[in-house]
Amino acid sequence: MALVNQPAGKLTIHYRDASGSKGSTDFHFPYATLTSVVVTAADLLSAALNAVSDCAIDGYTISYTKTEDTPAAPAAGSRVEEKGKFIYRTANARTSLFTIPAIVDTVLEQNGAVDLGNALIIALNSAVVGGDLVFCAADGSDLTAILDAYQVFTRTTKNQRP
Amino acid sequence: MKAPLGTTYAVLDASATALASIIAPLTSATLIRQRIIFKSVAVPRDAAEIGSLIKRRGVFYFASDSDEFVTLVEVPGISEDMLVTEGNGAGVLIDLTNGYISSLIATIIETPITDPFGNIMGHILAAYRQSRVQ
Repeated sequence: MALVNQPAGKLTIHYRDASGSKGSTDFHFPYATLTSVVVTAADLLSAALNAVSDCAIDGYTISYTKTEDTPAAPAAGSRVEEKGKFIYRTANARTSLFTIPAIVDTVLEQNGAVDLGNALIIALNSAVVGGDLVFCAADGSDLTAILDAYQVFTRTTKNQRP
Repeated sequence: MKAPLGTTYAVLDASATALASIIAPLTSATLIRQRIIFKSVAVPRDAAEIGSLIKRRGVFYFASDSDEFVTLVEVPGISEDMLVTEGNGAGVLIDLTNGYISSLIATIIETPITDPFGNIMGHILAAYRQSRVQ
């Protein structure tokens, strides 16, 4: 059981036409290619594509994907629509959040709040706030403290039906 | 999750692995995929040419040096100026002698572009305007 990388990473160039419709060009590159090398290539390709397309180029994304080669079976009855929502304060006095799908009931209180005193939640908060992990808010500000955490339910899509 | 600008793939991958191990006991679902994405946005955003259409695509077929592997590159809104104007392929074939087209092809071949399986592309096979509903 391990996360294994795909053979190639993906570079997607994003376009917009006169009507506002969006399109894209996909390229692939060897997975081991340094991001800085791909960025240089993406800049060159964007310029070359801009010269042959009437559309405007809005930017590009570079993605590296790993997939689990032998995923374990999910727990019976687990539903990704049932999430734990974790809201953090940031260093610039704003908030940032993330969710954990199929949050286990053992870390929830009866009113739906996440039990912030639970050892697993303390470990999560320590890692997120304590600097062990690199993650931050969307504006680059550090996550400084947990503000709130609770259970939420999102809408079930057709593909999520049991 | 978001990360500061300039964070390397190796650091992101390590943090993602660490976070996944912390989250694993908190969820009854199973981890199946991890994706690290770097975004670049054009500032300011250029205006598209009047009359440009995403669906008017140019398609470029590239092959590995041995011709064993082939991959496709689509260019939305291909300019009419890039098409052959005379002969059987007029209005359909992309003019491979056009300076902008040959520059694009050279860039694709010189940069580390591969097919989805990591096979390096070595040369162009064909290029034409793809017919799509407009």
